[in-house]
Amino acid sequence: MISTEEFKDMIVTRTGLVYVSLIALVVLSGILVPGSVTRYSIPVTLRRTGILGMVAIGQTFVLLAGGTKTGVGLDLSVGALVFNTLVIGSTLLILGFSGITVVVICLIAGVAWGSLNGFVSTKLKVPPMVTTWTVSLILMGVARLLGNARPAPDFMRNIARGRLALGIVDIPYSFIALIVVTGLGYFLLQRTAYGRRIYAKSDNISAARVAGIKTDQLTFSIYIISSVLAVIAAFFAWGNQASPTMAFTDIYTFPSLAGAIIGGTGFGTGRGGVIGAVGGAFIMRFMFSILARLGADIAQQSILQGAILLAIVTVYALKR
Amino acid sequence: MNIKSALSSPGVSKEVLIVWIVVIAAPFVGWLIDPGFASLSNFNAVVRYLVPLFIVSIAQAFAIMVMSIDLSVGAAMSFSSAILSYNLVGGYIGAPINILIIIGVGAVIGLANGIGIRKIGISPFAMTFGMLFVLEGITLTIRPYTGGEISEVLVAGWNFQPYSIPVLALITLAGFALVFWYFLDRTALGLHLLSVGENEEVSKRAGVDPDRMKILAHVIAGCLAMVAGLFMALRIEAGSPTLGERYLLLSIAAPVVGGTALSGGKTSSIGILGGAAVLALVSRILTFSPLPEPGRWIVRAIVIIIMLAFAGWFQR
Repeated sequence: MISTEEFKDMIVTRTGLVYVSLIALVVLSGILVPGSVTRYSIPVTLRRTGILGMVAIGQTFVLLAGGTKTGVGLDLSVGALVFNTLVIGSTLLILGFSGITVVVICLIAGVAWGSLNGFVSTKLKVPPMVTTWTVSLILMGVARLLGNARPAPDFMRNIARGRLALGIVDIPYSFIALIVVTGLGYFLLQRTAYGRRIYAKSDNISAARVAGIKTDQLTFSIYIISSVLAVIAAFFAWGNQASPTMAFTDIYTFPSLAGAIIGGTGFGTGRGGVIGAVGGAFIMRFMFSILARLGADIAQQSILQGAILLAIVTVYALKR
Repeated sequence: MNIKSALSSPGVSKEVLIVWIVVIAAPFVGWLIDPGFASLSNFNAVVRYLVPLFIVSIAQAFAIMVMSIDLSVGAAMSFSSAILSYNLVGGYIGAPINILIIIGVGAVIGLANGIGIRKIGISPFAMTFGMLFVLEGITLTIRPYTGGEISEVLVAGWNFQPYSIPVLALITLAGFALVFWYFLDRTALGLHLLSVGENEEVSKRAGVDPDRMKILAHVIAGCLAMVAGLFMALRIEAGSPTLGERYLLLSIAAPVVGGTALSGGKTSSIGILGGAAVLALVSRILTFSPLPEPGRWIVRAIVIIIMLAFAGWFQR
């Protein structure tokens, strides 16, 4: 059993606070909103959390160490990249490529887009926020020029919609994929020299440079990680759509940013990590599904999203 | 770097000079693409587009020069247009009252941002990002779709264009440019704001209260963003819940193109005007080009990256 002291220590960490908030949110809505926590609704939320969580993990890497001398790091191109991947994938399918080839080419494209973000930010010294926004314009432009939206290859649809039956509740494969990605991200950040370098750079970019860390290379790699994760998320998002269209609303960029911030990652402060980001993404998705169930409109969703975000960052700020 | 030294002249910084060369050259490019670009009605369109962009860029510059940022300026513009679209008090007396209302609301938004950032200690990004959602939600509640009516007096003033010359728009541009220049270069307050952005510790020892200065900068940013929303509303003669979003990243790009450092302590009125004018001209020229809409986005993005890369090159 956990003693009270240990419990206090646990929730005193940011990650602990995220998960305590999440559990409180789930329990409260389970009691107050009938039908919000059932064995049918939970897998749906988990599936969407799986997709958003992957993007939020990429965003966490960028928030940690995607900053340059010209500004803090945040990736505004992830939402456009999700859509772009769907369109490029569809175009490749029309051209007759096999499903596996499409996956490989889209991942390579992801590396290329991430490199573009990294190149413009580090070599051309454009502030990352403006860089990733302009790259998102290019991504959207390319997608609209190609203009193809087709259903995903069969295997992708099967994986994206598949579930692992666990008796009480089914776990969607997308959530399992998120757990794997989270594990890898945690390992990378906490157990490798690369992760140490990320935190060192995040904490103090000048000191990291003096210590011999190649900060530009590091920043470059950060944007590639973020873009590749967005592409993997895009595969799941694509597989979930029965009949994709060119109508696209960006439901990833801002929620992934909010998820990462709620997850306790500060902008280049050397604090935060991937486990919190998953909790943050879960809170975002769960909140959206509850509000949809309650019949809240987009306006109320927006206000509540802002209120939750401000409440949690206020707690973080006051605890410091 | 010979080009760099050749371009440096006393008074005007290199970035600003380059930007203004582009501003002067851009219309010729437009004219080459389509001779119709060199018309008074086109000049009119560019100027009227430039006004809200310039003002929101100044708003952002206030946040940037104290080493902060305001991600809520775009949402504030939409909110402003939504409030104005109800034309709360009509007639001649109503026009200034409407403007005072939005400026007051802007001050409250800016104060909330400033207190959250400086007194509670929330990061500027997180604070204003949360504010963005709150404002967006309120705006969508009061004005879910584009519509409503703006004060007829203000609209009439805005549309007073003898020989297609946008009188009010030009006066507004010149007025804001002059006042902002005077504020930065000739007032103690402007100097204090810049010094806080340059080095907080040093300015504190010189007797400037950084907390007060930063909160003040956010209040001014909030007010100016709402004023930018007024001119956006006058352009479309309605309130819009979403149009302001488009200005957020332009408001950051314009000062940076014009030589403002995101690390604070350095900005100029003429540079921001040039930066905003470049962005306005680029998107206007592209509407004259035969490219399809998505192609224009791509070209515009590439041009913006090139301009920003130039700005970054000079700041090294």
